[in-house]
Amino acid sequence: MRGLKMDKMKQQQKPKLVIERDYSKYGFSVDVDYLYKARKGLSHEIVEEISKIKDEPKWMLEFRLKALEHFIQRPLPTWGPDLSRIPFDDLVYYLKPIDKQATSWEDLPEAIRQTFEKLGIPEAERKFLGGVGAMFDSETVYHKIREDLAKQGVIFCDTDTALKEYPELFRKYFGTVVPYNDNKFAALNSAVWSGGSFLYIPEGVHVNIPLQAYFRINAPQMGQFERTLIIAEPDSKVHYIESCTAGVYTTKSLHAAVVEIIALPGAHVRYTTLQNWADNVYNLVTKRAHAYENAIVEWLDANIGSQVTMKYPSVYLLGQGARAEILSVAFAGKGQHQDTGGKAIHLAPNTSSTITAKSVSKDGGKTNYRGLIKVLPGAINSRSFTKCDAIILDEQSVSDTIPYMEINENQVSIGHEATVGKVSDEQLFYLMSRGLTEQQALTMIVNGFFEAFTKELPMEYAVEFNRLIQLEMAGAVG
Amino acid sequence: MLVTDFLQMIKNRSEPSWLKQRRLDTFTKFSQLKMPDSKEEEWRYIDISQVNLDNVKIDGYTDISIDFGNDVIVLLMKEALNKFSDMINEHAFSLFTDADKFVSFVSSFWNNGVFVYVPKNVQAELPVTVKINNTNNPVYSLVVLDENSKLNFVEENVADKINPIVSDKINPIVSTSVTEIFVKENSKLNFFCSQILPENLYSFYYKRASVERGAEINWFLGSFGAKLSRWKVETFLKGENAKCQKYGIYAGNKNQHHDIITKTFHLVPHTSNNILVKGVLTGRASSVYRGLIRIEKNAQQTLSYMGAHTLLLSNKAKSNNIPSLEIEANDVRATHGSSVGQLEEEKLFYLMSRGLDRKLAENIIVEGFLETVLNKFTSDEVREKFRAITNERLLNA
Amino acid sequence: MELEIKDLHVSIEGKKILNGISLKIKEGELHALMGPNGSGKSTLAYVLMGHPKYKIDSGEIIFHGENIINLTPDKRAKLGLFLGFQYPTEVPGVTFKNFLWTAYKTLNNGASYVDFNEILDEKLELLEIDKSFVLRYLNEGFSGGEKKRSEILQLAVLNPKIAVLDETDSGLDVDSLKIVANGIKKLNENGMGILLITHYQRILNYILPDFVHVMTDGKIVKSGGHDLAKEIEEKGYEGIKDG
Repeated sequence: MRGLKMDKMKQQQKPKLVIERDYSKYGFSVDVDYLYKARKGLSHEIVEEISKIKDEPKWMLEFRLKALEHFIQRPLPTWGPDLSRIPFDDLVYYLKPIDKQATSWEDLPEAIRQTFEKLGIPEAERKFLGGVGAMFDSETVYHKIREDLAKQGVIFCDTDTALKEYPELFRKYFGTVVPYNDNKFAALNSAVWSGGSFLYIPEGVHVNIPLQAYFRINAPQMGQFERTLIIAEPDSKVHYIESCTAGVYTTKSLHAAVVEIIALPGAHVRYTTLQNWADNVYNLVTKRAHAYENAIVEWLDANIGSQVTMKYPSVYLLGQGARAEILSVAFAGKGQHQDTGGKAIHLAPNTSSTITAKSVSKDGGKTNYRGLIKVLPGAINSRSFTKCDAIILDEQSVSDTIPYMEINENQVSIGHEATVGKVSDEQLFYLMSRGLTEQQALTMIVNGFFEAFTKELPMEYAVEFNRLIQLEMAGAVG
Repeated sequence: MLVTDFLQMIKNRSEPSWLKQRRLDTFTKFSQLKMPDSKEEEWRYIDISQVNLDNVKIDGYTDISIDFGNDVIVLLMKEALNKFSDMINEHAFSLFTDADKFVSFVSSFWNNGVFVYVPKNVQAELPVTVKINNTNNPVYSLVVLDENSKLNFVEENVADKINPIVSDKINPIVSTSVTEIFVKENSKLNFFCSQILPENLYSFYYKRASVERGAEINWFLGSFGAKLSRWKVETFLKGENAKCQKYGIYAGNKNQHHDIITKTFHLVPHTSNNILVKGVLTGRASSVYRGLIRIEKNAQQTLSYMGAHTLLLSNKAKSNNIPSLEIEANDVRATHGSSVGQLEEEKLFYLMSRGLDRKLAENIIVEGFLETVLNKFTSDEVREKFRAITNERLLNA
Repeated sequence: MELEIKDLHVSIEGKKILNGISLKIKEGELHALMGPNGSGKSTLAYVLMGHPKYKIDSGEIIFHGENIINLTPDKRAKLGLFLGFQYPTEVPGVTFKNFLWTAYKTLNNGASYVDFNEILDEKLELLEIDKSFVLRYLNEGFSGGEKKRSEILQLAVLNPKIAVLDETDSGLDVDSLKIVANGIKKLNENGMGILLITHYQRILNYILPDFVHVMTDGKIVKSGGHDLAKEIEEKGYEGIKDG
């Protein structure tokens, strides 16, 4: 449908539209009197101060300082998107909005409560969630779990609270999946982490309604460094959803989270992310899971917002029969670079992994798929399949595909397929022949392209995801 | 090599002055460059700790035999320098302005090679066959197909003079070569190249081709020998309707490492590329296939495919595949497929149920696996040869 | 309301495919266009719907009294034109129903979802298609017969003024063919103008066309009544051409 003839006609029909991303729903910010605001930049003193404010045990302070040392020494990655413009020295690394976490929305300061009302969180909680954690800048301001789940022994609280209330459980698993020196941004997170979710599912317990965490960056030029730890005991099951949005600013912000999942034998953990940061946010996140015998870990990872995202959710398949499912979708619009993908490391026999990646780039946006399938000696009968599809919607946009396959065992079946190109002319023509405008047809095809992801979401999220894509697709026909 | 030795070498050779000057220039660059380190992406999975180009002993001329029909011009480089100095000066290393340590090593020290020129409108009937006796001495070859010409070029790399039993761990033989290929408008080159070196050699082959409007290059590659074998084969599709096909097989046994890089650059609209590389590894052999398809911003209406598949016959064999795409244009179709696997028991069982012993059954499956590449070969002779070598290396190993 | 094709010359990548086609189809008329493979029948269908791949060298397509050759396919659909595809394209992830509803409400301003559902159910019944069909992804994994039925279902729901049906009969077993033919017949009786493109005269055993046109090498070489179809069956296309 990009034939010369049509292009000419389009020019006659309407002027070229330049549409900015629509932030009407998420881009706002509110005035908050912060209880504590660290001074700009990062230092040992700031790390010590954070630890002191949080009244942490000594081992945690030592962990933080070790991590800080590593962060300082470790160079920026030499591959991937350009990170040289992150204003490390101008960021605020800790920003405490309230003194005491609430378990009722009414107890929150008005501005913060309104923020989450506007984002629809309390309503969603009433309707279909089993628990909610809400993080506002550096602290989790609200946390609640449904009573019936709590009674079954499910723990769902913010990570700082967990350190205090479940010190043994916490220390047993914290930092075991993503060590502090894993990469520069995991080191940064380890040094200044604050907030995030701690989720513990006892053996055999199935949590059948999703638990949700909402991450909100309100202040300008800040870094949000939440830390999430999920421990799924044998044969348990849980679905955790996180959403991220931020106020829009002209200055840069940084979000560097670490997520660790431990899926013990037979456990099934699904982790869904709807990332819609404002596009002044650098989103550099380390997400990793350990899957033991017959455990299933699913990462459903959608990246629509942010200026730069680097995120490759990983699963270490440590036990026989463990399974990893990674579904990664990305949309890169003007000025955005989505460098996403997934990793599966097969360390045990009869393990399997599937990575499905779908991306759309538009208005000069850039999507990269970066992935790794690694099979270690002895991981016999490993099976892995990766499928990457990228759509490039216009001449300004680009897409790279960089899959690594490191196979050190022969009794395996490893496959990879990828396609990159534009929306098929034939599909467009077919839909338009039924009366759909080019814009409608394109949006429909792109929504269909992402359907493999949306069909896995709870209904309310699927509707919201499709709405976001529709907003992003506005002006696709130029 | 010390500067004084280098100057002595230049002095001793009766070469055109431009070449001497160029050697001096690249030698400076070569001396400044460090040996690549495993942190560099392209050297990540390859162990070259035994290779030190700064210490490689170079002496004399590489022994090369050539065989060709009389409608094309084929000369040993050392002779071509007298007759075709201008053409060599114009083309030599012009595609390698970004020379790394290895390429600048070759451009500083090359001593011999093959010069091939196919004049305008000449459609060579007989193939040009070149047998290069690999040693430490770097080799530089230049192949120029003028407009509307056609050539089949067969390059065989052997090392007859090297005793395969004697292994020198401290100073291993490092064989290096650079080949530049210019396929001008509406010409067609079938380029066959095999590497059958003894297993105490390290080999590093760099090949780049510039393909102009309406022209076509078909690469047929076979990587079999050497302790460590690195190929870097790059094609620049510079004119509309230029075409590239790369078909390659590799077969590794014992402790061999086969490392193959192919890159295709689509620089203009309406170009096409098709790659299929398959390898079979047994023993403790390992391989890396690193492929890149890059489609530049204005290179619309491009069709590009890359397939990379590895069969692992033993549980100590290892394979790394990185088939990458960099797509800057939207009205294109770029795809790749890649797989790593073993012999399927089902297939073996089927064949064995018909009375074949396991060895023979494996044989047949391996042959079938490689057949989809070999059947693309336009030379029966080369195909049969590659088949025979593969069998010898894998199945009688 | 009529569709009039006037001396249409069309080429693709410099190669001429249609060499002066003229044809007039009125509402309620049923025209059969027959011809051997490669005669340009499908090209004509695509060109009528506005596929950008083809270049119109000269001639006009008049619909609603205006020359529509510069209109995009959606504008043509909005005017009441429909193309039943020979090879309907798969659109993964988009359900048949979601797609058809979007098309329906675009073509019918202020359409209600309730009405749409009613019409859809009625047409499903008419064409003997199971209800679960509409929840599948558009044409994805459809068998040859399902694809053709899906086209006719869309035709019946969208109810255009003029429909061009490209080889709608191919790939159908006898039972399906009957159902599809009856569907077309009904729509035609209710006033829809139809250009039925077909290679064989098989479907014409079930629907009697008002006019039959024979096309070879991008030209209509003969037009006549439904008897012409019989003649083709007896003599073959070569016979017609020579006669």
